[in-house]
Amino acid sequence: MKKLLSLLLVGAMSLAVLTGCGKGEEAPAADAPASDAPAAETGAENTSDEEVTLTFLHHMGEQGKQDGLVKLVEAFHEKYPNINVEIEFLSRDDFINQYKQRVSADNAPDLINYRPFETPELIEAGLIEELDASMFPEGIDQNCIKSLSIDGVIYGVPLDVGGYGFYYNINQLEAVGVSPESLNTRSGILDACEKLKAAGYTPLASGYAEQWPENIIIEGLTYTGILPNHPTLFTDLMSGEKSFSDYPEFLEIVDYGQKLVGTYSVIDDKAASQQASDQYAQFGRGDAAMMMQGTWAVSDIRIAQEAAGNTDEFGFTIYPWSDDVNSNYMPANADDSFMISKDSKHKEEALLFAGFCMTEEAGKIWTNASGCISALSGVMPDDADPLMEYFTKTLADHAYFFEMNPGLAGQYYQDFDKVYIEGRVAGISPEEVIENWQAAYDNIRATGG
Amino acid sequence: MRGKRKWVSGMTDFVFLLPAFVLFTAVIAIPFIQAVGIAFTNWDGLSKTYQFNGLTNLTALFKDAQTANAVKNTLLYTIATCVGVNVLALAITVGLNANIIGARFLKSAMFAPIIASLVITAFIWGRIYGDVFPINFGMPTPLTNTKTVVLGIAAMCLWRDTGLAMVIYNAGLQSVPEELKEAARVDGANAWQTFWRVTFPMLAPAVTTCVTLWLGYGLKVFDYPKVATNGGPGKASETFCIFVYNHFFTNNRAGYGQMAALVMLIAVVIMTSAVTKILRKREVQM
Repeated sequence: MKKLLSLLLVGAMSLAVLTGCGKGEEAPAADAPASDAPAAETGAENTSDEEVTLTFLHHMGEQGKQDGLVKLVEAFHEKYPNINVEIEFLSRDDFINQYKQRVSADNAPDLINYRPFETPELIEAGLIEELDASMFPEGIDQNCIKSLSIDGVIYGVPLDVGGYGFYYNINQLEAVGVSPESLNTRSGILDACEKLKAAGYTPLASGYAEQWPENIIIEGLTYTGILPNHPTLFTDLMSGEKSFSDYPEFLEIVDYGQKLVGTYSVIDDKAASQQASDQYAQFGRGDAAMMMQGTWAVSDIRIAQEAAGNTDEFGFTIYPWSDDVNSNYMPANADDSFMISKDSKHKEEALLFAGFCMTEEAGKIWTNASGCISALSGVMPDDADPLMEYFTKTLADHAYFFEMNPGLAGQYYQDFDKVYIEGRVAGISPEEVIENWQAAYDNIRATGG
Repeated sequence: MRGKRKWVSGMTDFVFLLPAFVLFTAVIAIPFIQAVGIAFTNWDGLSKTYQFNGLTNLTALFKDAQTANAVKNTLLYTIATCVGVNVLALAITVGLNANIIGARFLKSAMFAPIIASLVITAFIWGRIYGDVFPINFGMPTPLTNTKTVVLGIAAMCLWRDTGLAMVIYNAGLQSVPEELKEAARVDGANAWQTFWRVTFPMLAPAVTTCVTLWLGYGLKVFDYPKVATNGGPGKASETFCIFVYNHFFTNNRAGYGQMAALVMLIAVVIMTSAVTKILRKREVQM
C-alpha cells in the first residue's frame, strides 16, 4: 500500500513537471477587434474594459528623461485607464542583447527605445512594426521621420530631436581668454583645451570608463566628417568595396578623438574610472570647463549644478571635426524614439500610446520633464532651460541628420567602436587604429559575418 | 519469480527517478540537442528561417583572429583565479587553524563575501577600483588598462571565492590525524616540513576538488567581466563566454556563437577531466 502511494505521488510529480513545460496558448479576448487596422490610424478608441499592460524597454539613464517617461505614462493612463505602461530600464551597453534574448524567449517588449539606424537587423528580421505616415501630425520634424525610416518606411516614433556637441562653461573660458565662437573649429577646440589645461582647469569632463560616451566621440566625427560626402561609407566598408585607407579623413579624426579623450579628458586616475553620470556631474559642478555630450544631458547637468551651488553660465556648440567652419556640423538625430514590436500582443494599445506621444499634450509633458527639444514644432517647455536656445540655434544652423544614411550593422558596428577604444587605451597611433579597423572588418568577412 | 521481483524493484527505482529525469530531459537534454543543431546553421538569432551550412562555422571559428584573444583572456583569468584562490585559501586556512585569537571571527569574515552575488561583487569592485584606488592609494583602476584589466577582474574572484575554498580546505584539514603531525614533530620536523610532508599530502582530495572547481569556473567565466567591463576596454577582457554571447546576440551570428559554445563545452570537459584524472592519480600516490 505504501509503495503504491509512493508511486502515485511520484507519478503526480512527473505530471506536474510536464505540465510546467507546456506552452499555454493565449486565448483571444472576447471583445478583441477583428480588424488589424491600428486604432490610432482609424481613429478608433480602445473602449474595452480589459486591463492591458504594455512594456516599454528603454535605456534613458538621465533622471529628467526617466521622470518624463513616468509623467507620459501617467497622462496616458489617465486618458486610457485600462491601459498601463510598465517602464523597464536597461543599460545602453547591453540593451540590444537583452532585447534579442527577450525576442528569442517570445517575450518581446511592446515598445522598444531604439532607432532603425542602430539596428537594421531588427527591421530585416521583421520584428518591428511599420508605421503609417498618417499617424504623425503635420508639425512633426520631417528630419526625424526620415531618420527613423528605412527605404521610405517609418519604424520609429520620435519624442525629441537632439544631437551632440560641446557644452562649455562660459566663466571658465572667459577666465582663460577663449571666446565661445572659436570653438567652431577643431583647432579652436584644441587651443581652448590647451589654454585651460595650462591655467589649471580640467579641459574636458570624463565619463570614459563606460563605453558609449567614447563611442559618440568617434562616431560623431565620422558622421559629420566623412558621411556627408560619402553617404554609402558604411555599406562600402562592410562589403569590402572600400577600405578605411580610402578615406584619409579617418587619420585626422582618430588623432583628434584620441587627443580629446586621452590628453584632455582622462587627465588622472580618477578621471579614468568615471562613468557618464560622473561626466555630467563633473561639468555641472564646474569641475571641468567643457564636455562633449548630447543634448540629452542637460537635465542631469542642472541637477549637479544646483546640488553643488555652482552659478557658472553654460553654453553649447557644434562638434567640429575640421578647421573649415562650413563643413562642421552637429551630429543630429531623433534621439529619444521608440519602435513597436511586430509581435506585440497589444499592438492596438501600443499604437494608441504612440499616437498619444505625438500629441501636443504629450510633447509638452516630455519637453518639460526632460529638457529636450520636442520633435513637434512649436512645443516648447514652460520654463525653458537657457541651454535650450543654444540647442535650437545649433540644430537650425548646423544639424546634420546622419541617420538618413545607411548605418553599420551587427559586428561591424561593435568592432568599429571597440577597435577604436582599445587603440586609444593602449596608446597606439592613428595609423595603427586604421590598420586594426581594416583587419577587424576583413576578419568579419573572412569568417562569414 | 526472483527475476520478476528484481525487475519490479528496478522499475520502482526508475519511477522514483522519473521527476528528475523528466526535468533534466526537458530543461537540459532537449535544448542541448536543439542547440547542437543550430551550430551547423547560419541562423542570425532573429529570423524565423535559417540554412544548414555544414562545418562552415567550425572552420571560421579556427580562422577567426578574435578567437585567440578570447582564449588568451580566458586562460589568463583561469590561471590567476585557480592558482590564486587555492594558494590563498590554503594559506589562510592553515594560518587560522593555528589557534590564534579571533580565528573563528576571521573565518566567518573571510567567508562573508561569498554571500554577495557575482554581479554585486563586480559592482562593488568597480566602485572600489574607481573611487578608492585613485584617491586613497594613488593607483589607477586596473579596469581601464588593456594590460591589467583581466587581472583586475581576477582579483574580484579572489575576494569573493577564497572563503568558499577555505571551507573545503578546512574540512580536509580536520580529517588530518593529529597523531601524524605529532609524530612528525617528535621526529624533528619543523612547521613547514610538517605541513609539506604530512598535512598537504593528506589534503589531496580537497586540492582535487578545489582545483577542478575553479578551473571550471575560470574557463566558463562570464559574469565578472560582463558586469565590470563588458569585455572592454575594446576587447581586452573579452573571455570566451563573452565571445560566444556577443556573437549569439550582439553580432547576429547565433549559429556561429553556438558553434563556439559547443567547442568551448568540449574544451572545458577535456581540460577539467584531464586535470581531475591527474590529481586523482596523485591522491593515490600520496
